[in-house]
Amino acid sequence: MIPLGSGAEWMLVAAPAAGLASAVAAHLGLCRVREGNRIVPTLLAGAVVGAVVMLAISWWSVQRMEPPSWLDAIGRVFLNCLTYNAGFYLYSSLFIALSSSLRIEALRIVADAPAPVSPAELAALTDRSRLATGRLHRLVSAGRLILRGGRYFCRPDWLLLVSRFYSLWRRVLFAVPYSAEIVPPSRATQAQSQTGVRS
Amino acid sequence: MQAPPTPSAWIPSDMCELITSGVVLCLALAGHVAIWRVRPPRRDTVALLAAGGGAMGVVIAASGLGLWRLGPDTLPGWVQVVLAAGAAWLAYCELYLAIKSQSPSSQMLLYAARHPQGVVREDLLAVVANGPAEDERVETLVNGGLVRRTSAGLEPTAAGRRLARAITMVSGIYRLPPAVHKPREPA
Repeated sequence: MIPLGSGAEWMLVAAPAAGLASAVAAHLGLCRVREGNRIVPTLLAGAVVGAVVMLAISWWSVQRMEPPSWLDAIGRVFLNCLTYNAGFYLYSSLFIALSSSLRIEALRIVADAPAPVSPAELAALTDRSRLATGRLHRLVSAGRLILRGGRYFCRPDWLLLVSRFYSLWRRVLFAVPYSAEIVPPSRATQAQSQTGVRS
Repeated sequence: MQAPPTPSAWIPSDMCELITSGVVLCLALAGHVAIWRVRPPRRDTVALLAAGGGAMGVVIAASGLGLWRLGPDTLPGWVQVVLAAGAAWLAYCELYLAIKSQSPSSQMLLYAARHPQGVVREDLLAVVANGPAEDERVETLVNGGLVRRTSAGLEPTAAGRRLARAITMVSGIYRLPPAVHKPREPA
């Protein structure tokens, strides 16, 4: 029969859930106080609050558990950090999808419509070019793309590194050739032939 | 003659929860890559969840049969392993969806990074505009049982209506701006 463990051990197991609950509560509170769609700062603040709660409970539990060695204590607290981070990542992804996913917007449009919506009408309502303009503006404001002489230049940073990793993983999973990863826009070809400049 | 050391003598058994969680995740990832290389499943989210559940089941069964000796020795230890491996695998499932559908920001950055001499605005916008078509988005909603096609157009199913209502309610709780676009009233 497997031992049921002590109360402190169960507290250690519950620490990521308690941290996540605190993070969600803090994030919700901030969203309600600071209305204005500031997604990243409010999420980060919530994540910090949750991490402090999770680490405090984990530390308290480990002190009372008297684990066989400091290595065991580090391993179990590290595992809690992993659980908390994964849980908060899921929460933040769902929250971001709620505010910016085109699929969710499409569902809301169809559900709220007084009559059936034609696919063409839906396409016009959830226009992809609007999304593209918004994302370009966000990348420039964050300094990831630099506008110089009417052309955009990429600045190496962590998001580019993450994007490269995603691209590599797509190739591992789906065997997509690198050249087919990003479909070059047809305008680029036109511009090349007109100006002789490779874009 | 001295007996060969058991595996637990080679690996620090003090970190058994961490090691067991790592093994579950590695097994799930190996199964996922193997299946996807052969043929990506149509219902990929379900297949991913099954891969994670299968890996967890294999490790628990191996521990029960005495084949895996580094498993935790208490119930809370096993619960911690299940929570950690489960949360990490669910996070990977979410990441997989992002990798599969390609984020517009990533597409723009990669395109700009491939052109060190810079790119013009129209080309960057076209990279995203050339992305997944509207049909694909609608198809996801139809396959998910949230929207159905009728002769008059797209209509929400009961589940779709419920989900949209829940999304609106949650958005209200967080004070997120309401859906911007509204379809016109029927003539």
